[in-house]
Amino acid sequence: MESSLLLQQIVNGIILGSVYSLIALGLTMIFGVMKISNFAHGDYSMVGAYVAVFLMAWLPGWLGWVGSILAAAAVVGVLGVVTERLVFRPLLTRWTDIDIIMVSIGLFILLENLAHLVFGATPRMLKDPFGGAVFDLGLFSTSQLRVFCLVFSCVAIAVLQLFLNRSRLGVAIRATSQNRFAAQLMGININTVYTLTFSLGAALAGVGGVLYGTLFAISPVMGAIPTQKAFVVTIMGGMGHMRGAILGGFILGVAETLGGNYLSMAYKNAIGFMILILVLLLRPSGLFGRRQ
Amino acid sequence: MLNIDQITVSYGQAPALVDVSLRVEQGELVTLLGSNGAGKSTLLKTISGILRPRSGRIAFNGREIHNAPSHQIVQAGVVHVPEGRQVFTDLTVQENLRMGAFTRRDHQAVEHDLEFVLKLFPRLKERRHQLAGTMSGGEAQMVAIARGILSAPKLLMLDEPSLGLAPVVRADIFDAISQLHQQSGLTILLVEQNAKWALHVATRAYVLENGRVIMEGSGQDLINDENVQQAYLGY
Ligand SMILES: Nc1ncnc2c1ncn2[C@@H]1O[C@H](COP(=O)(O)OP(=O)(O)OP(=O)(O)O)[C@@H](O)[C@H]1O
Ligand SMILES: [Mg+2]
Repeated sequence: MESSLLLQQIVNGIILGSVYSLIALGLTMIFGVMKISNFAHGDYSMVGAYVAVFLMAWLPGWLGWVGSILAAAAVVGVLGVVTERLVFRPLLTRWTDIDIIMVSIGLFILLENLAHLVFGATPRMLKDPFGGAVFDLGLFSTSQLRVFCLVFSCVAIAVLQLFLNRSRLGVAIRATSQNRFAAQLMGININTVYTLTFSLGAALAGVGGVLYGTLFAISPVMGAIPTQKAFVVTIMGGMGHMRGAILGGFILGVAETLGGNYLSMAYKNAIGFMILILVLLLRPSGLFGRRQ
Repeated sequence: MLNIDQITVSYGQAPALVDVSLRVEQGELVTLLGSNGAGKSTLLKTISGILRPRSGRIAFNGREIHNAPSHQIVQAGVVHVPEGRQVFTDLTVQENLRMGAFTRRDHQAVEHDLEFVLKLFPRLKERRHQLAGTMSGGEAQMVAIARGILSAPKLLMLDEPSLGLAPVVRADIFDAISQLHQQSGLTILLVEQNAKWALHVATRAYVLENGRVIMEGSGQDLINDENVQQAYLGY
């Protein structure tokens, strides 16, 4: 009984962690290439979640759910392009990192308030397209929706890795994050890479937002949580480090669920920060980052 | 082929190049000498569109390029192998080389060039799947030059390719550069601290001091010049 509860918690943690990984990958990618710490990142998840709210109202069932994920990627991808072009691009060469962080916090507040205006303050829930059906595997059970959540984030992570490792453009993104000057000398158009990276990073947060919305309530202020989790994961894994973000997401998800259960539910959100402090003390460049 | 006409380049208020004019003709190997801080790297960065001149013009094959973005300059065939190698440390050797060919669509020619550079630097062949960041200085320099060749240069600009290399490896790099110029007929603009060798292989040469061209002539002329001998050849 004890061990089955433990297993159950670990499974829940992995599912939650896969969503954290996805959102954090977007943040870490944008940081790696552009050195922007975007505190508005979680708002891309919020917008993605609202895309799902509206689309699922039109298109019920699993079709609406899959459609929501694709639509969230598209809508938030475009929002990413718009914010990169209008907000970040003009500042990138002239402003310091701290300035850009302040601006991103401003953007966060702006998007949150706009969402209040457009969507209203009432929290919403996504309907379970599987009608609450459950997979029961004896030792643990989990809703079908959560299983699909896990499958979707793992597929998205795998596709992203494939893109970054195998495609010409993907390798160019990695090259740019490693050496911007040399990338320019290769004839890589840095501005195109920036826009693409930002859009892709935002889209990941958007898709993550839909998945997040299947687990928690959706509201205009929800963006703060994904931002916070993504930063914890990104710093834990090493800023700009992909594998670090993937692993970090899962670690955080499992640690939170276990901690929430065995320590205290009230401390659930604090656990990430405790891990963060430990990592910063013991390995400041993150689990995967290079030691300076 | 390359015509630089009285360019002035500054970092903020501090001028780094003043009224610099320089030309490279098809098939030449032009050496650029100058002590530390003379402005050699600044000149190469301006040619490749990383820096913009305050005034003056740069033309390549008759087309003005001093306002063109760097990716267009690469596509036009002006390729810059930078000082300090600047390889992509977390990409493999092969990925580095493929990034050199980023703008190219002539896939067959790319494969051909890939074979060519692996013959030029056989050491890279066995290390194709090694991360470039784990290579020795000499090997990294080979990657940087090979990557430049993969960009299909019409003009290859090399910034201090022998910097910090042991004599044996340096000889390999020098051999490869001579071979590229003499056998492949590549046009080269070379910045090199080893003035003796660099003047010896040069068709023509320039001396840059404090951001100004103070001397130009054939490689042999400069080798015979007393000032050059004192300042760069250590006689
Ligand atoms: N990014 C920069 N910002 C400000 N000043 C710079 C910058 N880069 C170079 N300089 C200055 O411009 C001048 C020319 O530098 P440059 O790097 O072109 O010299 P160099 O001839 O290549 O020297 P070296 O032989 O040491 O490589 C130097 O005075 C240098 O301090
Ligand atoms: Mg230099």
